Amino acid sequence: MLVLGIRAIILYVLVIVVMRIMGKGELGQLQPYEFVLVILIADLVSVPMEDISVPLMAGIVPLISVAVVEILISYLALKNEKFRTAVSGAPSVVIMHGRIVENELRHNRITITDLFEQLRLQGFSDISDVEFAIMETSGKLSVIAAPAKAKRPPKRVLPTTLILDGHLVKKNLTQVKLSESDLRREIRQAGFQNYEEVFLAYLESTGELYIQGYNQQTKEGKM
Amino acid sequence: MRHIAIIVILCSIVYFYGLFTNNYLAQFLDIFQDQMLSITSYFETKDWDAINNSYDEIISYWENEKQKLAYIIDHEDVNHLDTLLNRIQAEIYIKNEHLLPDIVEVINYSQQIIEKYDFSWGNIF
Repeated sequence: MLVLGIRAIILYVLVIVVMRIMGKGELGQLQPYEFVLVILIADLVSVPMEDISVPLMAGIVPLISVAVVEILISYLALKNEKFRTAVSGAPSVVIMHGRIVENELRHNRITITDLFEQLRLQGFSDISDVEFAIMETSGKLSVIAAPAKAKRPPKRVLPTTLILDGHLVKKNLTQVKLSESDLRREIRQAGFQNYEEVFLAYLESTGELYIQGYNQQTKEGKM
Repeated sequence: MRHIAIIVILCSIVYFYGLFTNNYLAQFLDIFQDQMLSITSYFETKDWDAINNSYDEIISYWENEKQKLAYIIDHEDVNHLDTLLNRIQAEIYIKNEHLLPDIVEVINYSQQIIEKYDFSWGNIF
């Protein structure tokens, strides 16, 4: 048992040393290749830590090897823009001037629900409050507020999605006590013939209906 | 420059460690295999004292080196070889004439260890 304890301490110290050599202070801002490295390190170290029949060096050598690759990748990413884009990707503007950039959402495989969740976590309940939202390479969403919406009236209702990717969300419609015919009328007024033409329609906290078609047209109406 | 220096140092450590351990392992097991083969030369004359003396040298060599081996190879491989050597020692003690298969097994197993840890494309992929 003492052997296991000593092996665990040695590997723990070594992992700290390797992480420090890699120069990563904040684990919350991992690039994709760094995220892979963290998973790998955990796995590489766990086997020799708990199995005394495996030589300690069988954990140390791969650990050093992946650290070398990580340092090399981060160095090349620092020096070369194309390489950086290839390994880390590029930031994507998912909301531009208060409108969702549908192609970027699809490209990044982000659902509307995920986007709303991220916006709410950043303190934004409505898309129209957002001037720009940028999906960073680390996977975090940066939000720049719309200046014109700074003096909006106090929030009144819970923002609710009514049409998502051409499909009516009936449960939410009942929740906001809105009839299907009212919604259909609003959609027609916004210039759309049916639900299938609407990419996103949701009730903002101010009671305004936000409607966006697949061609990125945005209309707002008062409910 | 700091990045490159760290990369060079770490690469050197891994490379020279790999080179050293591979050479050590191959050298040790080559000598070990030769020693095991040398015992078989006494079988025709059935000189059990010579077999016993020769085997004592092998065991002494093995006992000295097995701790170092444990740094490099899987401990189960070391234990397996140890078990086989103990079995041969017991067979020599009771003068069992049919110990040749066990000697062959030790030689084959040590050869497998060399191949297992050898730097080759087969092992990489």
